[in-house]
Amino acid sequence: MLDENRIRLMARMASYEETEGKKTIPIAGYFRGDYVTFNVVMTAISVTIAFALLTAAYIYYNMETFIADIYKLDIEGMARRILSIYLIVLGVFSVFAYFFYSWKYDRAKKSLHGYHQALRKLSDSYDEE
Amino acid sequence: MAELLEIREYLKGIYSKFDLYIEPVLKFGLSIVVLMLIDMHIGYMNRLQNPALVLIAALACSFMPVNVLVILAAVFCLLNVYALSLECAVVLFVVFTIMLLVYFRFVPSDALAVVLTPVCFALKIPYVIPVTAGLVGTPLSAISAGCGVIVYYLLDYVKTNENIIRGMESETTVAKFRYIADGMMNNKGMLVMLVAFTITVVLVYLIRRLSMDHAWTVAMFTGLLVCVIFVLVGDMTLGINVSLVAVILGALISLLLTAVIKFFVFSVDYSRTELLQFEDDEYYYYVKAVPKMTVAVPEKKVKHINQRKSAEDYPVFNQTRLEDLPRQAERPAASRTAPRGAAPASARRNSSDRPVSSRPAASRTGAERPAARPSSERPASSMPTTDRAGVRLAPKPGTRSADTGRVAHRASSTARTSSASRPSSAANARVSSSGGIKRDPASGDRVIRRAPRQDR
Repeated sequence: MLDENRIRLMARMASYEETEGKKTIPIAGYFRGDYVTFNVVMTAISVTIAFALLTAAYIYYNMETFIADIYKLDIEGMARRILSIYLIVLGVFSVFAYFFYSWKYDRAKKSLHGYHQALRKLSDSYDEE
Repeated sequence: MAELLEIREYLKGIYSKFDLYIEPVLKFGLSIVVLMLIDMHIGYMNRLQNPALVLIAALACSFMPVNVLVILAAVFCLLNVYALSLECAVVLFVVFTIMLLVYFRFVPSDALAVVLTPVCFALKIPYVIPVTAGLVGTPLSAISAGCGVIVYYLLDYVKTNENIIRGMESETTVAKFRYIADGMMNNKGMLVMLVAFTITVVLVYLIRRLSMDHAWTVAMFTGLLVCVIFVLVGDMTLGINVSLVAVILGALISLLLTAVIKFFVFSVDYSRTELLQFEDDEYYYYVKAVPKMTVAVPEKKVKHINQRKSAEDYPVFNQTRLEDLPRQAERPAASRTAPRGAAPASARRNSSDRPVSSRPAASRTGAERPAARPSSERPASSMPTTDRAGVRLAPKPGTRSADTGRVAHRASSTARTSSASRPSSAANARVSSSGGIKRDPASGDRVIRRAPRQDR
């Protein structure tokens, strides 16, 4: 026999899974520390690639100057400057990513609260049978 | 205003019903516009000029997520610019990659702004983007709008200096790369627009979040004004050569479009604002509740008058049909052979013209047809209100209107019928003014509508 309340509950849950749940359910599959760490590491990799591209573009832009003054250049000093800029940029983006993904995780958990309550209600209705 | 709200609810209803079809169509339209604009402005690769290819690409985008359009547009731009110059393509590739790695991995949903901003610039309505981003987005949307501005000005620079770039074939790669990078970084128009857009987005966001009345409208006007003033000041100080007429016209059109977007997104009635205060165990609440402006869309029921329906197709509640009433043995014999009830001659002719099978069963048997009396004697309630085609008939002179519903009229109509013809109908006609005797236009049967039972 069909239980109307259960069907309504399942329909609402399915609708949530198809829309908002597509983003929030995968997030909730992680522990908070794992999710934030993973995304901070991915951000660090992305920032590193972007910085490398920018540095290459900057060197290519000034290629003629570098080639002309290659014996006068303080390559060590330049490398230290580039590295320090890289570390500062990486630090800023990592901190930003930490707070951003922590906030995203908390928001996903809050959104899933209602979904989990519905899941419990569904499970209880099956247990009652 | 009510009509506009009805139109809005109607459009929302249509969208919610048919969004499975509407979304692909909208995405297809947007893809076509974007790809055609790219081909029109920087179409340097002949193979990509093929309309069939554009159509196929747009069709593919219509069934994919929106970010696929962003990637496809970026690929089209890169391929076209590569056909012009490899160095241009490298610069563009670096710009796209940095945008993707640094920003759009955080907010991938905002990637559409990178496509829409150049489109709005090409259509001369760029101010829609920052104001809309401030109304519906967050301050981070300023970065998306800024990325769109950078992409537009880079492509515009390539298009404007196309001949110079083509003529630099003898130059070294580094020289060409420097020329393009310089042009991009020293573009004052781009800098002015970047600053104007960023400030506009943040300002609009801050103002619309205020709890004052008409905050969204104030934010809209203020944002546009600030943006236009920034552009004009930038023109005066940095000499970026913008047309005043174009700026003002663009701002006016942007204002209209933004007003339409605001109407659909946020429409509230400030005259019915309620200020509430209440408390619970933990907090004291000061709440300002502003009701949304909504209106119920009236449901239109289309009745097909040409198509005859059987009696079962009409919902029956609080109605009693004459054939359900107990038969009256005292009815004169002529009534059984007479055509349907008090039908006038024209209707009688019409009914006899009809093939027998099309007539409802009750009329065929003639079991319950009342006597055919002269029309002047017949009560108006028994006169047909509609002819065979369902067209409302005008009441004959000397008779009352067919709109029954008044107790006095019904009482007189029942009094006129012979006592032997319909005693039960008189009894059953003790109805309140909410009931009445009407003729069912489809079957021609008379229907007595019973009023709800009242406790005495």
